[in-house]
Amino acid sequence: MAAKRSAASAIVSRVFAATVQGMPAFFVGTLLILLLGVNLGIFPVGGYGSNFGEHLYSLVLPGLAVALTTCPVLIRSLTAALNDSMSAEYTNFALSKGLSRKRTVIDYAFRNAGITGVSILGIQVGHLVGGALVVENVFAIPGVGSLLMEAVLARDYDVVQALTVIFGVLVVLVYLLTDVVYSIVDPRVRLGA
Amino acid sequence: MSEPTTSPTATGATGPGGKPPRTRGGTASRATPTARFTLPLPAFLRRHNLQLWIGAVILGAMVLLLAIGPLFVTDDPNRQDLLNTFAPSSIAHPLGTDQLGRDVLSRFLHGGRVDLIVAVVAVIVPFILGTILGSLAGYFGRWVDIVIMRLADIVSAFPFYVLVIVLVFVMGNGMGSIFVAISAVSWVAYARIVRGEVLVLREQEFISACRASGLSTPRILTRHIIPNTVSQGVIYAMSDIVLNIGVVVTLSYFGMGIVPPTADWGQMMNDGQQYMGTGNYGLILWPGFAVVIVSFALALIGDGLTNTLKPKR
Repeated sequence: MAAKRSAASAIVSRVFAATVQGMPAFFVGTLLILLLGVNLGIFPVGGYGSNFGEHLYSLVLPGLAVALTTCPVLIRSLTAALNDSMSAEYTNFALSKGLSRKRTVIDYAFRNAGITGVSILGIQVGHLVGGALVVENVFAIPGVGSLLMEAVLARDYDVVQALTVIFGVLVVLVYLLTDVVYSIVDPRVRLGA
Repeated sequence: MSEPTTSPTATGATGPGGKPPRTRGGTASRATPTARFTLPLPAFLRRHNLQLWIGAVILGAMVLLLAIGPLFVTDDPNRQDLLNTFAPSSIAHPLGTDQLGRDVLSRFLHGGRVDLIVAVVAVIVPFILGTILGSLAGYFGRWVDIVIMRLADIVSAFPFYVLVIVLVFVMGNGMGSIFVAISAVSWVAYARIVRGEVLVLREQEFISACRASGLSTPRILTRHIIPNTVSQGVIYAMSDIVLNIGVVVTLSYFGMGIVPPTADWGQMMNDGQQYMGTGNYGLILWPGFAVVIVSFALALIGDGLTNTLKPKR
């Protein structure tokens, strides 16, 4: 999205990012329910179904809601990263070497911007878990997030404590994974060096 | 130390190598000789900073509406009229009434005031706290840095919403605990941003000059280091306000934030969702779009400020 260079698509992607950035996850969820669930009736408005197929089917809208609330940060940082790598010396070099514009963008700019993308994505997963917490409640999905909210509203201290720790461990694990992926994507980073 | 986990979340500044990376939006200043290859922002946006102005106008209009609106809409936002619930829009109730017969427009205006004030005020403490801790960590390094940044790591090990919800849960509902919860969590981002800035500043000539001319450390910090980091903090503060609006509205939506019957947008949306099945979409859509508009304006202002305040190095 951010890679398109024409003025119009740049504005569109910026406006989109700026609009979605401010939408609370539950509002996005509610809008999706209204549009695709109630009015068009394509997807279930909530619940989780009873077998695997129904699980997946009822996860479409929640997934979309979480994705929509997560992508603006990614759009913004990818745009910034692409801007940087487009004006970097190696891009100029690739161009002056006679590579086509397309090749340069794909092989040089994207690969380097992608490194930033990976780490942002890793950090975002932490936020994503929080967003999922909200969305789970909107769509009445029996996940850890709804469990936490139920426990909070029932003032069940033990469950809240346990879930907080579990969430913490999950996020730390994801961060660790990000570091590992990072070292694969970017040959300059070596773990344990 | 591994870079990916410790970079400022909102800015996306991450890169390998020891130096604090400077990835943030190099749109305007980094134009190279191959001008056809600089990415998106069209020239007129860059020249006139339209984003900043559009954002400011939208936000100003919204604030004006919330500020003087209640002077014209004199209905008590909490007065119930149980014989007149879910009334369609009329001259007496331009946006209709809710499930207790309360005037939706009046609740919208009063609720917006509460949400915006909480969101803006809840930026101030983290901003100050983060700037102080971040500059200390960056300037002194060593164990000060280790203690402060490990503290920051601990806070950011928990998902943002989980931590805020749990803190509010422990302290009880209400504005006070929202402030404390947000402050306890969101100073981390400011501290990271400011620390990164200070790490660069510390090595520059003008700081060496200050030290050589015998200025005291507190004076260098307060007069020469911190003023140079403020602009980055302010830029982040814009998206932080957006985040805070989201938090306040979400907490109230779950019945953990602003205590009823005080009107606020989150609670209105929760009410609205419950009665959405009966076709009363207005209850949820008005506050919802208001949140989106305010956040949109703030995002534009943030983008505009980034282009204006970004240090030209």
